[in-house]
Amino acid sequence: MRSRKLIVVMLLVVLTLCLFSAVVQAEGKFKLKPGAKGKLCLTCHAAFSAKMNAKHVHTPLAQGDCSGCHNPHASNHGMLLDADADSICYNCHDNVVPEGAVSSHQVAADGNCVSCHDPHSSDNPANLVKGGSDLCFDCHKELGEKIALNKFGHSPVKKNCLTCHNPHASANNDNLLKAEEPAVCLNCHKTSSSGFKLRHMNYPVEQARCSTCHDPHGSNSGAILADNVHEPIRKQMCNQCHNEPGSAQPFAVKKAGFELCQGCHYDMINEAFAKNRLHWPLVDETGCINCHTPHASSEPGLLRGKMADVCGSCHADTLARQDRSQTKHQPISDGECSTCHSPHASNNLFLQEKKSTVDTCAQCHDWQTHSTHPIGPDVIDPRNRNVSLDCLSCHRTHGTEYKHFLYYQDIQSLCVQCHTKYRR
Amino acid sequence: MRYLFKYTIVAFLLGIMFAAPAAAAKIRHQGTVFVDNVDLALNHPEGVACSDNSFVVADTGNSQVVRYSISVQGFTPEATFPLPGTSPIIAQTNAAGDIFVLDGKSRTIIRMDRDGQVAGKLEPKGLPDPKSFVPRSFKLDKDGNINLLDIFSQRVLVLKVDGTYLRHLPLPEGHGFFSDLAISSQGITYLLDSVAGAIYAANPGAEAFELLSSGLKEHMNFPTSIAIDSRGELYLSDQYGSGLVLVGRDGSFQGRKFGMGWEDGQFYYPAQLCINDSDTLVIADRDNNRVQVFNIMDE
Repeated sequence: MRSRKLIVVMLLVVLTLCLFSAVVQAEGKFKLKPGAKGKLCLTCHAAFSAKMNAKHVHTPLAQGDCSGCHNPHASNHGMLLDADADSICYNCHDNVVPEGAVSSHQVAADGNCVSCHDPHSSDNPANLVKGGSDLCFDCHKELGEKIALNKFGHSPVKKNCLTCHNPHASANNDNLLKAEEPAVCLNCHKTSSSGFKLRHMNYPVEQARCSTCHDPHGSNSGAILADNVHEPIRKQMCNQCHNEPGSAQPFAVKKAGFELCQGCHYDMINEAFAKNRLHWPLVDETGCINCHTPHASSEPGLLRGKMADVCGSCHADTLARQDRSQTKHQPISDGECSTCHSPHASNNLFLQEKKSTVDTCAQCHDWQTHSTHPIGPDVIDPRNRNVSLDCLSCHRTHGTEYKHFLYYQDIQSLCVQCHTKYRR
Repeated sequence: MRYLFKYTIVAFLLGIMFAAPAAAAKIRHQGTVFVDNVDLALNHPEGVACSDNSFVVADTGNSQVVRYSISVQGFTPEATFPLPGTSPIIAQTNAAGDIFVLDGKSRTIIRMDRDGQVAGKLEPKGLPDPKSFVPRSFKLDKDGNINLLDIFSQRVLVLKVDGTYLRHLPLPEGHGFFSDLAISSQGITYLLDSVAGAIYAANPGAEAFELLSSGLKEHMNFPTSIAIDSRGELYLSDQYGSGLVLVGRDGSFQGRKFGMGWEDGQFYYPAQLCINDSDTLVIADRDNNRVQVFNIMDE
């Protein structure tokens, strides 16, 4: 009897709570008149009627809940948004970039959702501002142009980037990939056929990273091999470097470091070894493939990436100096480190191609028209009797915090370093 | 009772001494050497090795080694030892005054006696597989053994002076690029990662290196040489940042000294540094074509 009363009381409490929450929901936090949600806004924002007719309407707007994102009275944020533009979407879409994601799309991580999505409505799914890959190519222009010009295309790339990539983040994979290589490739490509095995010289490539040879975005080489193919790969002579395909470790290489490459590139390596100054990574355990990819690359010289990225992977401080510099040095901006430096070895300091700094700079700069200040091996630096004046006496080629790569804030401060009698 | 009181005070004072963090050292410029003993200007010297009353310079651009004496009068060039056709970049000396230099061109270690007579190249004997090695740097320990940073087979090789293999320690995984190593008087081996701005350490008898300090890139650009003072503090020559960086025994950043320039106490792409038992610090100021000598003092 007593427990029946208890049940009745509890039911009443639950019903009251439900009723109360329904009332609160109906009125909303702004206590709008019944039925006023959204419609009230549209009495002024009439242009939004057309937005409402788009194929895909953002759920709050479809429900007439403009106050889901906007404050109708006042706000500290633009567009009367209820929170910062770069965080308001996360109020509902909080799992777009998973915590600890291996890779994330910068725009998503920055909360710049409106770069890709229309917050109100769109004729494209997911309220995207453009359909298909065109949206991606708005930012990834260079890639889009390359894909358009490729002789050999990869059909999913032409259709939709999202076949392989997640647009926001990838919890477990690099490059926003939906699955790690080779799984992402094996979703479409079957490896069991004899033709496939024959084309890959019976190496178990289904266990390897396809993109070490193939450019997943297409290329100008058959079988979408990256544009620059290492000769042994082109000739299908993988066993020139690797163990035989039927061996216990078919992908193991026959020699370590530069010793493997020296078998073919002996002239280049011997020439480098005869120089006074060697780029040390050439002779470490990784050797040539510190900078080069051994199979195929979309970059000339089989570089692992853009030259500035490859060099910058170790010399980040040098490139950062150019970033901070008020004046930019064109070869660095162009990512052409080899304009001045010889990447393997040199007899000269800083692995410069030319013996003297003046000669290096003179490749681009006609210094005799630039300045009448004497420079050269016979002009002794007044600050140090063992140093002669050259371009580096006044300029630091990768940049300083001042204009024209100068070491000092202004010309006067620079000149009085040597011309001390003019010091103030 | 009185003794107990005295001992308590002494123990308390000792406790304070050891618990207090080591003050950053004060470094005072002592002098600069510009020429060898025949007045030839140094040419991009990269290596220096210290002993109590002298130091030797690997005068890289002149393909020679120069020994200087240290006295109250200053630093006097005593002898020059030509090494034609080489590019000497790292120097070391032992208690007998023998000189060892790493030739960057042939990537071999050349041994000379005190009078500059070349005794041959270091040929390791009894190396375990892999047999191939490339020395990026080397240091002598207090027993006179050669600790060789082998970047090809990723290990520190410990060899007797005649090249006989004693032991090795693998380099840690996941590093950037190791440019130098240092051995403390307690036998601790330190490794300098120039790219990552990190220091690894291995105690005597350890089987692996452990990370001592990381994130040093915040304070330096590209350190290439490491040395240890009598207190066990680490000194790094920041080649691309043209400065000196001090790191405590515990791996903590202690400060940055000097900067880029051409005057005394300034550097232009410094290379190897060394410190003797009297805390005389010698730095190969490579692109200033000179060697600078400093005195390390407690601040």
